Amino acid sequence: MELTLWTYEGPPHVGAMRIAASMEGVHYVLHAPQGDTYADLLFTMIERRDKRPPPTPPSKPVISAATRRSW
Amino acid sequence: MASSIATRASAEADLPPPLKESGQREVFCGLTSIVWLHRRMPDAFFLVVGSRTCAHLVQSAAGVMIFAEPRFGTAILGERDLAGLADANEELDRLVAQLLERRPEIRTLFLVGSCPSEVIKLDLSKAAERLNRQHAGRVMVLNYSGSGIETTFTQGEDGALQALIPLMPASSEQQLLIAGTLADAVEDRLIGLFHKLGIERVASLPPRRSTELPAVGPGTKLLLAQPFLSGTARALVDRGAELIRAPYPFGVEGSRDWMAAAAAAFGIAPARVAEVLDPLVERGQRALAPQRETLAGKRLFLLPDSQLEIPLARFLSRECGMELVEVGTPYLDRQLMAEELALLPAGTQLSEGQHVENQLLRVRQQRPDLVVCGLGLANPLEAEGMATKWSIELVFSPIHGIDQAADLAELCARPLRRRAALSFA
Repeated sequence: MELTLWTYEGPPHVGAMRIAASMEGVHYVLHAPQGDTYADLLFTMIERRDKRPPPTPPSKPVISAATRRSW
Repeated sequence: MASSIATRASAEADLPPPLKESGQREVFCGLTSIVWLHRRMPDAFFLVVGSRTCAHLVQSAAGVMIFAEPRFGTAILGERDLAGLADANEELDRLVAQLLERRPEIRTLFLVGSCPSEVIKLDLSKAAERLNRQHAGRVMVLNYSGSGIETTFTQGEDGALQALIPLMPASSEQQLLIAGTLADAVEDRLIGLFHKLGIERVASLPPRRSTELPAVGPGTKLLLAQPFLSGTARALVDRGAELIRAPYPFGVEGSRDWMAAAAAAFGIAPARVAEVLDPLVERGQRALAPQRETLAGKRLFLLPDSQLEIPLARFLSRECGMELVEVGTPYLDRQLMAEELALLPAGTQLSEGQHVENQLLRVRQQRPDLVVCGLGLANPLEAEGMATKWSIELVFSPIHGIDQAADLAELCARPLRRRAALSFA
């Protein structure tokens, strides 16, 4: 466990999302809790893109998959 | 009074059944509420026990508000914690000791649970008990969950306030307790008005100093300033408080009814209420008039996000003349929303829960003039030609009270004005 008061480092799945968002015809399914939909705003608000990025978290939280994800 | 209750009950019956949706939601999790709570209680610290994603979220939500020493941080669970190789409790104790040494001004420490801490079943209430023993007299350690597994972002405040309730001293003294974070200046103004009405003791939860918690007991009359405090309201009622039924203090009408309901609960004569509030109502309505010109007749779609949607829809339709296309709410607490639902225009379509893709299809079909939505959806909708208002902005802005009604309307009129100014038609 590490204490952080400020971080400049995003989590790796946001990096993977960036790659998916940079290509056409790619959809990226993110097995993650609902809260992770905040990633939308990294693209639409901070980068001011005119479209939502291509990832979709599953419609219900997938906890078993989430535990396998590297946080 | 009885007849008005009857009218209101029948008015609610005029609403079609809400559309119940379940699917992908597009909302922040409860951790986001730290962004306004840490500003309200500067002597408190919010330690998220979570992932790097959680740290990144709070930071993204906090946006440009970078503090040299922010009053929130994250105990980041690493691989060893998640795999059970390290004792997460020992690790947490170590980090808390490190934090308290570095930040001696912290008086209340909230351990905030997250999706990952819930998934690995880290019991933060036990951790808080243990840390309270270790740091007794130095700091109060509390816990609540800000996990996004089942909650929307304003429920984080509901959780934080519920964590404070067991620490509130008991008292049967007569008092008005306002629950829900208010901007300090708005709070001062409202308390001043309650004093003027004749209510002597007025307390707030959360208080400005986390160590100065208000008392609660059978003499407490509870008035909710925010509509998302279902758990807090029930816990305060369990401690003996009596809940005052009222619409929420948004708009001239809602704010007046809200204050009048409190006055009635304290047996203050309606004539006194009129004497104090009527000049404000008149001034408020005058200030609202120019905003109403922009908003009247415009079509409004509210996506479920902050839980402020129903009171906001009530204000924008009744006082600003907007037409309601759909009013989404993350969850519908009929008990706490009864007074609001009764004031909605007949036929208003509510939706509860979210299936964001289906909801966006309806937005595109309906082409409303203004969409109130979360940050992640705003710019894509703007790109499709619809004006948007960020719902989270309304949680941060001082919009409560009669004096603030015109400002609230202005916040909603601004995107329409901007769009009109940029249009070449």
